[in-house]
Amino acid sequence: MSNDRIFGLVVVLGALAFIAGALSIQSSFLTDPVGPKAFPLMIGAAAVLCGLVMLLKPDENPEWPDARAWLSMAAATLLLVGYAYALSPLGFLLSTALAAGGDQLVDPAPRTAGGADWHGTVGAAFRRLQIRPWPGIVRPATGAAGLRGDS
Amino acid sequence: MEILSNLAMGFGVALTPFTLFLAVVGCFLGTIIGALPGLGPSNGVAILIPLAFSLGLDATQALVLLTSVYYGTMYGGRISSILLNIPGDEPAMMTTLDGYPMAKQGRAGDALVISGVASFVGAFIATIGLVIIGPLLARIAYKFGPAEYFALYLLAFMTLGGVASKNQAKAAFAACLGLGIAMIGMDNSTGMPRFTGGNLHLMDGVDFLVAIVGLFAIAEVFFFIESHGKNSAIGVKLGKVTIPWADLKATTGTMLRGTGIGFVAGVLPGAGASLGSFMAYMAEKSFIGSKGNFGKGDPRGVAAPEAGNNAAAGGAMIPMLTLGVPGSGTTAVMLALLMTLNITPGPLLFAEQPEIVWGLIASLFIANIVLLVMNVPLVKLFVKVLMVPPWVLMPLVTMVSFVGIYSLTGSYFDLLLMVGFGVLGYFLRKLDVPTVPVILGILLGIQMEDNLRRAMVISDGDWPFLFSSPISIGLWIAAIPGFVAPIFLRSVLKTPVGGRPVHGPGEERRQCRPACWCHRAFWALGFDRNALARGVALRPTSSPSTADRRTAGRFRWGRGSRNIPAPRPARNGAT
Repeated sequence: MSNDRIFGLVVVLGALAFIAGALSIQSSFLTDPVGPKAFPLMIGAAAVLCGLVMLLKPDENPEWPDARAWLSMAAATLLLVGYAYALSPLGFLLSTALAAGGDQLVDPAPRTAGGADWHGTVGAAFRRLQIRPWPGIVRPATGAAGLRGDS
Repeated sequence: MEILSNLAMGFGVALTPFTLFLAVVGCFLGTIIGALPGLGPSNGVAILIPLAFSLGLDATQALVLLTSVYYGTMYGGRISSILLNIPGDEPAMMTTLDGYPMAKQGRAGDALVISGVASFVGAFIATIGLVIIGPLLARIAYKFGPAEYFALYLLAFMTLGGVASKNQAKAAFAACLGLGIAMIGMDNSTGMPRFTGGNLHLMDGVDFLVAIVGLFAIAEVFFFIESHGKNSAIGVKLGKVTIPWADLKATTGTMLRGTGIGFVAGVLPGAGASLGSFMAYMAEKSFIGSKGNFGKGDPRGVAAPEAGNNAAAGGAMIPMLTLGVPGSGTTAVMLALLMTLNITPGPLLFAEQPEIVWGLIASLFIANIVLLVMNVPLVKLFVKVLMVPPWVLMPLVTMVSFVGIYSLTGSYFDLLLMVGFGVLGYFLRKLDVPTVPVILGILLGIQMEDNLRRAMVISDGDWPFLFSSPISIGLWIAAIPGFVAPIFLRSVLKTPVGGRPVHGPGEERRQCRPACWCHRAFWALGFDRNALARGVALRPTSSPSTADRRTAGRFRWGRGSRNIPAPRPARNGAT
């Protein structure tokens, strides 16, 4: 419920900002009957309506991931942003190698409690950060099960 | 016999050794992309568009490659549906209903062959339909002026919202978001910057390829991380594959019926392949009645949805090519491809660049035959590919998207924008806001505005001009119920006469919600609501073992869908 209300509010505020932005568009001396403002204004008005409907008639909340997954996703976002910045100065090969290495650090596989995690003690700190200490390929046969997370 | 000579010309364009090679590569890649859960047709084509450009292909070659990928994904989706009970892409959802039971009975090979042939029949006949109907519709579309086009775009947004989401407000918001993003940049007719915030990178507007790859591919990476990567298909076995002639003969009628229904669903704006396969399955089920063994491994239950979704894929090309209005997510991506190639789809395309249209159509025929060969005798190869662990796959997807976009635009800003769209896409899909209308808005926004302004220039600012021709009045009249009807249907479905048509909390988690599009569509077609509940509840509901949980996790990531509401994890079912 509340998620949709927040989202609806964000939509309404965003749409109002969009309308404000549309009103500040300057028309040139040479313009057609509609001008550059009208269509954005129509879109903004429609978006305000949609936001209000979401505010007043919210759906059920979605299932949000747990904190660990959030951390992983945040790390992945940072990694992607870093990759974007690195691609032109470092070149394709170096930055892709770095990002692929980093990708392995952003661990998508949850560790099972009491699983056959051979690097359990070493990895405890990393685990809390949801970071995989070494590349996934290094994982031994016993760890491969842990990689999928639930056997 | 104009059609035949046109077709001959098309084959002349498409039958060079290099384009044939591209068709084979495209079909192969497409089948893999379709088979891998999580990578569906729109993602697959979206990722490969920038790549096709960086390879320096010309228009026809790029089209051949990407249409082969498109058809390939439609074929490939069934493989994981049948073997793993996970739809490889969204339209293959209905194939799990009978495909997986068949595999459990040791008839996986039969199911794969039947569905492969059904895919071929569906896609082939739909392509013939495209050949016949396309030019006819293009002739009608000649009469379209700016006012009609404006109404047509509006119709596309309205009806797309009707099927794309269970909440009309969210679907409409998605369209507004896309249109709003399209407004960013320099205004075409006055040269004034709009919504750029003084940022020079935004003066040219937001490239729709950046948005598409971000919303589809990068968002998928986030969904993968969320699902904790429980997605590998290691340990799937497939015995000897033989051709079950008797079953093929018995399902011929089914395939033809499925093709017809799917084709119509594909041509309608906004419906697309998922609805095609759904309606084909349901119609076949009610046609056969109690004689059938549906849900327990009836070959007809595999043939109908596969014929349906492949026919819809072909049908969806018709509005895209003749009117420039895509009927589904993947055709929206194809439209983006055409626009990047500087080809404007529409009636003029048939007259001015016939070699492209007919070359495309010829390549669809070629792709179909290549796919039939690939998917029937060589299906084992693709089963092996399914075993690629996703933690190899996802970095690969990321890399291909980044390198593709970078090679196309050469700007780190676009990469950042793409990541931003990825995050946006993740949250939108989480909140049940469909992303296909966003894409469509970004693609069509400028044209929609241009047509509105052109209409106003013609009429000298007289707004009623928008409703002045019979065609535009018809389109407006069609748009309003297209948008409003689902709202009422939903409220009717909320309090059905015979109790809730769906599934209690303890049941299989992979079920749709009462107000989802399939229920609405189903109800609208006048079928028995409860038949749907039976059909969907026929999925295996064995005790949730580890494998089941893994399947469920895999599916969560693998739904690859913006149309189907997120499957809700069963709170008391799988504990």
